[in-house]
Amino acid sequence: MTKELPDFENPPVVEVALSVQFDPLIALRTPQIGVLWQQFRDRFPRIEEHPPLDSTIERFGPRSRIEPGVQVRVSPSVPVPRCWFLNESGSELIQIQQDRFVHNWRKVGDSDSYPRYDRHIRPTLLSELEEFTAFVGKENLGEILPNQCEVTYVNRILAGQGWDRHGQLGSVLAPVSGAFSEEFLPEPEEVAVAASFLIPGEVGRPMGRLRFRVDPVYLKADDKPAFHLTLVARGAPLGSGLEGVRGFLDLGREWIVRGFAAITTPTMHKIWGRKS
Amino acid sequence: MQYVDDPTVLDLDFLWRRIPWVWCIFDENMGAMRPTSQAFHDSENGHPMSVLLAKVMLEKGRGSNDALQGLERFALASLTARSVRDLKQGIARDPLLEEPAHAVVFGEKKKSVSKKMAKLAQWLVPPPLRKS
Amino acid sequence: MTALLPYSGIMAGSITDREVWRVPVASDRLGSEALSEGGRPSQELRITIENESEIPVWLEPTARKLVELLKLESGWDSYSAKPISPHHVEGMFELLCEILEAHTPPPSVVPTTRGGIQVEWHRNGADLEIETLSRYRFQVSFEDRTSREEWEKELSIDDDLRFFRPIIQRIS
Repeated sequence: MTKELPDFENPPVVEVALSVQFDPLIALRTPQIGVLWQQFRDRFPRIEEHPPLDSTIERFGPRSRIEPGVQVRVSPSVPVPRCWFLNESGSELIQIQQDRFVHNWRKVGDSDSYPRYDRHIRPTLLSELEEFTAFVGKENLGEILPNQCEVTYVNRILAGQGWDRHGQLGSVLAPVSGAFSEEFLPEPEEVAVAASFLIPGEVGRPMGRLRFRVDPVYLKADDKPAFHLTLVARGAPLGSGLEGVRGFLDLGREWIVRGFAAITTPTMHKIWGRKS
Repeated sequence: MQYVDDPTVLDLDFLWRRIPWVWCIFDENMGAMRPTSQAFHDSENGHPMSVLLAKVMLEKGRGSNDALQGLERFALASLTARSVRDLKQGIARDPLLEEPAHAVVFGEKKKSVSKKMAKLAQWLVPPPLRKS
Repeated sequence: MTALLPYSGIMAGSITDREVWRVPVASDRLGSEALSEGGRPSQELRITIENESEIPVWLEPTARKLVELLKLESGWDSYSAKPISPHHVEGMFELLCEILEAHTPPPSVVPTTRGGIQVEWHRNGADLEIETLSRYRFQVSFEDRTSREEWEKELSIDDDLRFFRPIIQRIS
């Protein structure tokens, strides 16, 4: 990675997910996922089952903004679950379903610190994906044809540093000025913001989309206010195979990091220890 | 496997192609049932398109119904060797133990080629008529 | 909404403002045979329609045909054809909902040996064929005998699909 990206000593990130969606492997059913787990079990000794996620793809153009009036799903009477392989602490997990492979890191304990995209999360995902691809080939389950990649960063921004109340979102988020045309309304009780940006490509065709949303929350432990700032970059792989997946994940992560720095305030940057 | 066009299959010879009913559509432009273009592709396993040589069938006293023996819900369509060669395809005899009349139509089957074959095919054993 | 699809005990009932049709697509083989090589466990084709949406005239005939095609077993062409992939069915419906109008006539629907589906119209002097290549990729071919226009191309569901508008009007 040669591009210099904004870097923070203590970023408020609490979860990162790197996801690869591919054409469904119909032959990858629950028993096969169980066999796969044997390969990962030493690193991920815990397993959970969850409902599968819907297939999703970024759409562009005017009609992409209209919700479809008709939806059709063909599903087996016994759906194949989305299986989670978790490490002992639950701080890292792999999610697998017929058309998705995801690696998550999440902050579980107070002492957990963000293990960094370049040093840990990216190489781990790519290595696990290679293992999964080899398994699919060996078991004759089909061919992995990625059609969408997704990078997600979830940040938890705690009150007491740069802001105290949910109505002060403007202290955290640069695009929110907090200015009103007339003096009448008090400080907002809470504010939520969402926006999306096209990631431009060649020849006027977008390569993907960056979305962010900020939600006001209260922490379970002590009812203190916080903001969840979620950034998601999603788009098609930049080319075929693992190379194409790697290409979009890196691009998506760059947009997330630069986007995060662009939408948060310099005051918060200081609090998070911005290095560059 | 390399195939070579067999000149002993004459231009006016007929090639028979089995068409499952699911591949029979109603063409409103033609006002008739005909095979879909999907019926004129190479096999999923890469083997070129299989046909039966009508001449071999008839020499052995086998007719169109024999071509569909053991198959339910199938029709039978016919093309001339000439019409297939005009679409830059070759024809090679490929007799099998279980089917001495077997032959293959080889060559790149672009969509335009399959579509033309579909419209040129004539029924020997037609499917039941349906307009949807 | 009347029960339009052949499923006894059809309606799952309204869920808030939606109606859901469920149509079982059972394998013709029953019991343990259904899980042996070439057999398939039952599937469910589930159509969800927003109440305020006009039900397209092409929806039911297309769904009815696909229910039949989803029953096809391996080798249905007497050679090595694959069963229809349910994901190709979903992908095709997603595309059709995007490009067709409510009153577009229903297409002919045929299986492909690769486990996909093709929808086609041959009317008004034009021919339009759309084949699924994967969940989100399609091959389209069009021919207009009047204007002598003829082309074919591959596209993705996330491409700009507005070029379909005059074509759909042509075959409607």
